[in-house]
Amino acid sequence: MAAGPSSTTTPIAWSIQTLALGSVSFPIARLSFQLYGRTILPARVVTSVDCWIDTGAPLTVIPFHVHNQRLLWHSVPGLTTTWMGQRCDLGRVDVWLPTQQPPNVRGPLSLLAKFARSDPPGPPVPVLLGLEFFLAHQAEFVLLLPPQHSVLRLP
Amino acid sequence: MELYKLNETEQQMSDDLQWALTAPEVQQHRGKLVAVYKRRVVAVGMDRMALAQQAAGEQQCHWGDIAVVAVPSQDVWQVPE
Repeated sequence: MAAGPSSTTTPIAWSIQTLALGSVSFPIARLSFQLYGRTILPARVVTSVDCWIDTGAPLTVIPFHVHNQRLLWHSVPGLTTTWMGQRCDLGRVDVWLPTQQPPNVRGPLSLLAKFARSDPPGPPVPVLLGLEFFLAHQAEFVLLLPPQHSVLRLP
Repeated sequence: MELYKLNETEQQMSDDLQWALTAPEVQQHRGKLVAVYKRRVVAVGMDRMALAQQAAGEQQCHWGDIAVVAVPSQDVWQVPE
């Protein structure tokens, strides 16, 4: 591991589909990127997980299918909550971010999150990165219009 | 906070997932989980562990080496909470 940088940036891509309903057509957009979580899998420290930025979420959500048998996380004893009707444990996991500066991975960053005990019905979702992460790590987010990538900047 | 260099296994999975986030052959599977290995779609479904284990069996690798992405659905009425 090398010495820490002064500032790093992570590109955030738009994922846009167009939905046509009768006479109305509109974009379905998500802001997606990958991050790395500390893993219990053999022969590696981190594993890749996909993620959407969710500025409507105070806390990050880690769906059951994402963390089950993959991520090394620690629950905050005695604290449970819910997400989409699913019981969740409040917990912490170390994550790393891909950066545009070599060697292109930065962390560990402690992430407080809801760890779902089961998956809700319907289409699966990835990690939903909530606002706590930005405040905890003084991370800035710059939203740029497509086809540009938005930017998550760490001091 | 430090910088970290991925090992070979971690880097391959990272490359696969990064590719999957924009590849049309992945993104066409709306509302599904898509398993990717060496920049190829190797399984599509709704159960991550089943997909990863099926793909790993076919690719003769550990299931943890399989990148899996959730492709956005077109269900706009369900807002993540």
